[in-house]
Amino acid sequence: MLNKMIQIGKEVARQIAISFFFASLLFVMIHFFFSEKINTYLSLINMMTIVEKQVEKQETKFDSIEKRLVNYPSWGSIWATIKIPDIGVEAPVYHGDTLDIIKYGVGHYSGSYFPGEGGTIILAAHNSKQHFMYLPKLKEGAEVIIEASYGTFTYRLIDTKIIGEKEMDSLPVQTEKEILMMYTCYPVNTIGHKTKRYAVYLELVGENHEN
Amino acid sequence: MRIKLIFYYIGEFVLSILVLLLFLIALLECTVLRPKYVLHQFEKNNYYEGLYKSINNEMSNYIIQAGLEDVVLEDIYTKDMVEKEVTKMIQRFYGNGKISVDTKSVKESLENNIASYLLKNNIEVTDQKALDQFVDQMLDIYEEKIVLSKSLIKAQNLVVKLDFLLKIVFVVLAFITGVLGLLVKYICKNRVVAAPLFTTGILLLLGNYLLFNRIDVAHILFWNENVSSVIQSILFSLSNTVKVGALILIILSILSCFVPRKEQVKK
Repeated sequence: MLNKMIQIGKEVARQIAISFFFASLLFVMIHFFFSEKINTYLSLINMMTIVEKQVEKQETKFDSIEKRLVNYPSWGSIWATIKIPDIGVEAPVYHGDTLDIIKYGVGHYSGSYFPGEGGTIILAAHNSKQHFMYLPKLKEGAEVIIEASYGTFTYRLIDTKIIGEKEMDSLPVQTEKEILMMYTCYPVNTIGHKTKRYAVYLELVGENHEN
Repeated sequence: MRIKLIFYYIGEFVLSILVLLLFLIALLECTVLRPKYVLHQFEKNNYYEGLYKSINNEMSNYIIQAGLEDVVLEDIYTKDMVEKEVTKMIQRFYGNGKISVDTKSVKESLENNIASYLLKNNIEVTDQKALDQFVDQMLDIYEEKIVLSKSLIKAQNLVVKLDFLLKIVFVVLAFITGVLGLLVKYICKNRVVAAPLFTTGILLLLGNYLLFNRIDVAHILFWNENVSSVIQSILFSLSNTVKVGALILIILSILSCFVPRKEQVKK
C-alpha cells in the first residue's frame, strides 16, 4: 500500500515536472511571438480606463503678466457668472458645453479662451427664458458682464448673425482680439427642432482683475 | 525506445497546446458568443434600467431647445419595451438577422403627447416641419441608444463569421486531439492526459494573473457607464471561469495519475 502511494506520488511529481517544463516552454513561445501584440492591446484597453480622482475645489487664478489662467476649472464646474442687464439674465457659466451641462446654465466651449486671455470666448445656452431666449432682442452696444473669481470683464455687442447648426466655425478661435461669441438655438420662440443658431459677437471694453 | 520517448514528449507538448486552444474556444463559445450569456449579464447589471434612464436623459436634453416640456416624453415608452427591444436586438445580432428597432408605438405616443401639450397650452404650430424633425430626432435617440452604435451593425458580420469559424476549428482540434492522444497512448504506452491538463491549468492561471494584473478592469470606461459595467462584469466572470476551469483541469490531471498503467515505456 505504502509502495503504491509512493509510486503514485512519484508519478504525480513526474507529471508536474513535465507540465512545468511544457508551460515554461509555451510561455516563452507566446512571449516571443505575441508579446508586442499583447502589449499593444493591453495599452489600448488601459487607455479606456478612468481612475476616479477627487477634484479639489479651487479658485481659478489669473497670471496678468502672461495673460493666461494659472489653473483651469474642472470640467462641468461653475467658474463665472454672466450678466446681461438688457434682457435680465444672470446665470452661472460652466466649463464645457455639452447638452448635459447646458441644462443647468451657460456652457463655455472648452476649446475656446477664458476672459482676459485675449482670444475668442465661446458661450452657448438654451433658448429658455432664464438663459438666451431673448438674445435676438439685444441691440448693438448692449453690455454683457462676466464675473469670474479672478476678475470682472465687460463686453459690448458689435455684431449678430444667424448661422446653420453645422456652420459653427463661423467664428474661428483666434488670439488677435478678445471676442466673446454667445449663441443659442434659433428661432427662439417656435416649437420643434431648431436647425439654426443665433449668435452675437461682443468685444472687450473693460476688465478689472481682482488678484 | 529513445525515439518513442521523444515522440511521447513531443506528442504531449502538442496535446498541451491543443487542450489550451480547446479550452479557450470553449470559453468564448459558452460566454461572449452566446446570446443567453450576454442577456444574463445585461440583467445582472441592471442594464435595462440604466438604458431606460439614459434614453430619458438624452431626450430631455432636446426638450428646452424645442420649446417643449418634459411632460411630452411621459410614458412614450416603458422599461419593458426597452428590454424587449434589446433582447430582440441581441438575438438578431448573433443570429445574423437584420438589426432594427420598432419605433412605431413610441412615435404614436410622442405625437399624441405633443398634440395634447399644444392643445392644453394653446400653442399654435407655425413650423410643422420643425416639429416633425423634433419627433424624428427623439426616435433617432431611442433607436441609437438601443442599438448602441452603427458600428455594432458592422461588427455583426465579423462576430457571426468568427463564431462559425471557431465552431469548425473546435471540432477539427478535438478530432486531432483525440487521434494524437490515442496515437501517443498506443505507441508509447504511457500516461497521456495528465501533463496536457496540468500544463493548460498552469498556463491559464498564469495568463489570467498576468492579464488582470495589468488591466484596471474596475475602471474600464467604454461607451458609457451602463455599457462599461456590463463589460466589467463580463471580464470578471471570464476571469473567474478561467480560474475555476484551470483548477478543475489541475485536479483532473492529478486524479488521472491514480489510474494504474498496464505498461510503461521501458527506458
